[in-house]
Amino acid sequence: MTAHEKPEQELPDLVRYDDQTVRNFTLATLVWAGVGFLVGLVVALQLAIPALNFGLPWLTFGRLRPLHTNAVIFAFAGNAIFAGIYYSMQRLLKTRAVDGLSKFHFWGWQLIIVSAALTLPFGFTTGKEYAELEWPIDIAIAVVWIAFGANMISMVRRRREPHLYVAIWFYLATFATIALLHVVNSVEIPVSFLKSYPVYAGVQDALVQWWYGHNAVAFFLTTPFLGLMYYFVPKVAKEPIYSYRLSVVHFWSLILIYIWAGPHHLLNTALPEWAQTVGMAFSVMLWIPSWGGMINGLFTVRQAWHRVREEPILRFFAAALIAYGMATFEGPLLSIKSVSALGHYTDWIIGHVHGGALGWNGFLSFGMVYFLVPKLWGKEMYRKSWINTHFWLATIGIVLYVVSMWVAGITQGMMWMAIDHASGKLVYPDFVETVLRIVPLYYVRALGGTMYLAGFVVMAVNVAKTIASAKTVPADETVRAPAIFKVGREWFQDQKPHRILEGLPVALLTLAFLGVLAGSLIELVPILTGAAYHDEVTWNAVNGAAGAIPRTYRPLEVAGRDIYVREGCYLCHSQMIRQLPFDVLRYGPASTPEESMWDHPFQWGSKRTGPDLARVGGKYPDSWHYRHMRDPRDVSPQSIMPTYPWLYRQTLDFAELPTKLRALRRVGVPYSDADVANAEADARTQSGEIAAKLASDGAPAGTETREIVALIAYLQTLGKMTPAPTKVGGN
Amino acid sequence: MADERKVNPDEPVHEIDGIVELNHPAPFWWQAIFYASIVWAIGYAGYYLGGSGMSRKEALQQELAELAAKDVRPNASPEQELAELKAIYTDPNRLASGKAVFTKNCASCHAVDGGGGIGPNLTDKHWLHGDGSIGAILKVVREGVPEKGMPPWGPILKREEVMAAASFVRSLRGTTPAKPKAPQGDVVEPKADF
Repeated sequence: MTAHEKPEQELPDLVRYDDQTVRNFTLATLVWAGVGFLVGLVVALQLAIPALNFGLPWLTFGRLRPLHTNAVIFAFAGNAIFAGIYYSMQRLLKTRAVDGLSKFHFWGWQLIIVSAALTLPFGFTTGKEYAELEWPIDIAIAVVWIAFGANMISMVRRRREPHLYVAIWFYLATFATIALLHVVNSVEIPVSFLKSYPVYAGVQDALVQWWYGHNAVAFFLTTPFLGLMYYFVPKVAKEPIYSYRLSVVHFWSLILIYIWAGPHHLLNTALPEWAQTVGMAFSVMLWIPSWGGMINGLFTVRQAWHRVREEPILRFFAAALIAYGMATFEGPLLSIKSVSALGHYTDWIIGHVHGGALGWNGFLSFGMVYFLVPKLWGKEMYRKSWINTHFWLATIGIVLYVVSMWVAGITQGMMWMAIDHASGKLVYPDFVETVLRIVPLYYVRALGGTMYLAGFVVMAVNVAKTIASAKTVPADETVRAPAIFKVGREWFQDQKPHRILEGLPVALLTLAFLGVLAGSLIELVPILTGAAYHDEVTWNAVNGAAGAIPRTYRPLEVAGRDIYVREGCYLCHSQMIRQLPFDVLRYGPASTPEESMWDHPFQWGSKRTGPDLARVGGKYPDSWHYRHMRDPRDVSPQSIMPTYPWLYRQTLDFAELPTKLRALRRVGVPYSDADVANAEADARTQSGEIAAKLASDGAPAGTETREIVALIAYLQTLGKMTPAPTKVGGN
Repeated sequence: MADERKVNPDEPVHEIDGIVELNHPAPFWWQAIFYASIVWAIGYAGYYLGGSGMSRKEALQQELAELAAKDVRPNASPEQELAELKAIYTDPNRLASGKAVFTKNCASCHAVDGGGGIGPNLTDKHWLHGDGSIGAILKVVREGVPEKGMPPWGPILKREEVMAAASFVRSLRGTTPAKPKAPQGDVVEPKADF
């Protein structure tokens, strides 16, 4: 406080900010945005035109979709977060980041992104959404993330301001929670250099994964961006933040409620119902804390409402806040069990996440970049009018995208649900019919994506021209500042409790972490430990019916399952028949928890671009699958599924199977020594049988060594691993 | 906005790096909805966790029972069903609707003209399941042959669709498909037929 009363020239310290790190992250943001948006457009077009995979594995939807999500979340949004954090945090604390850590963080993160781009299209994946990267990269992420956290902690300890501004509370909560989420969700046993099995299976893996997935949205796409909003919006609006006390209430309520909401991704599934109820209740409570950030931002902008018309950056921010408000209203709405019954697995969810990602994360990042570039390179933007062009292209693009996906999702969801009142049967039993209805909307979505990408290109050119016009990179900004702040006894007097907490960063960080940890433990531990989904002995003790335990996969089926994961089949096909009548009518008895108890990772999926596969085993003959995977339109003329010709060329690695079985045994699948020893021989026997059947139905000889045979073996087990459920609702 | 700040003259409470914080109270509606959502959540979770609410599993059993009650076949004897099939078989319009059902659901394995592919040829005199009579065809369409990958269509399609598809298959006997699959099963003569 006293510091501000002194004339600046009398302040003792000279602080030079590290602007080069901010420049690096800003450029990386733009490079990866281009990659992420382009891949997004390609996968969007592939859903309308399946031939666009050109028969190439690394250009197929199931491989590219994880590349798209990882690129936009961790590369584009990630680099934007880091750029904004390094810029704002140094200035809010009047201190310089640690050079070594900043460099390590920047280059480490780029290396992780490059390794993602070099592994995901080639099928190296854990098969867990938004956590697809394999174990060596997971370790690298943890190390780099901790370097980032250490850098922030060092900065707050060397700060020259007594209090932490609200932006920094959000940054610290982001660091602590993402570390927890990433480490817990990525516990896996390596099989080889780029292959592992998660320690969790089935229900447990589903719960951990969606606890992670949901909170990655919370703590990677929400909290850090709220922090950036709290810094850059008042900077650009040149107006005060509307309410300090609102920021206190919504910060704590947001992080403490968010962490519980993960199970809303698993409503009406085999997840124990108490967890679904808790997830839904917290999701509804989350609506208003989320809106706390939006109103604090919008009311701040409103003080300069007339400037929204003339300042395009402020327009990006205002639109970002509105998009955030829409997405955080839609989220709780979709978390209501009966709404989820309609919206889950449909394109409504795709529309929902893109409203948030394109509108909130995209627009906030773009506005921030337009603010930062002139500051970092010492030049006004090359064309200010182009910012406006970018804004309108992107806004119309978002509207086309989101509206088309709402219509597609709700249309298809209602077709799936439709039951004929007279006969009690489905009105649209043919899945393809429900797909055909929405394909035109896939073109509209692709048009929206094209416009969004076009707007980005305008921005990239504008930034490139601006930077090119700057002959030299300006020197780091240097300011006079008070001495490093030390908490003394007298400092505590006459301060409100939260104000004191803002002066004790480690305490604030610890409190946030403990709050998030407590919610996580209460929700996860009962299902990770007490429940009966992970080993035969407990299962028998609890259920007393050994007969219902699924058999373990035979070695060839393990190989087939790994191919299923590698090709990203789970991105378009669920394996979870929900406790809903129209799901049961279409796909058979509701899925039970024990049916996926040996599934490392679980493959319940989150989207039904194609039908559910939980009970596809035995539904079709082997030769149907053989022809279908080679060209889906051969057996289902209007299918939009891609072709998989490489499965007919590539040979199986039989010799690797004992290693795979041993790794699965380590995560709890009860394979005996004999199973491991005979793995290769058993797989050869089974593949020989399938190949013989295929040959008798007209397939060429010699398929027994091909990957397709393993995949067929796996597909034919689905729903067949336990004795047939007697009750249609599951047991 | 400027006017509102006069009525509510909140002074800046803090300033940092040029950013000033005011201290307006959170809007009333915001607080009201927040408290209401907490009360609702406690009530909702208490109702279901406390065991008062019906679980989804129980609700599903009820819903399925209601649907199953609708899906009763009319109390038709085999003779009556045979008569019904014959009525379809002899009515070109109804047979055409059977063809539409067949094209949509059956052609991917049996070919549009019944010549076979993944599934057997339906035009020849060789039959794997039953004697090729309309009654036997209806049974296979309705109940499927799960071990051979023939799905049961009874639970999926409406009764009249199943009947129409079976009649259409019966009409394929003796036709000449474009690419006939080699015969499978024995040559049999349909017995209980029309």
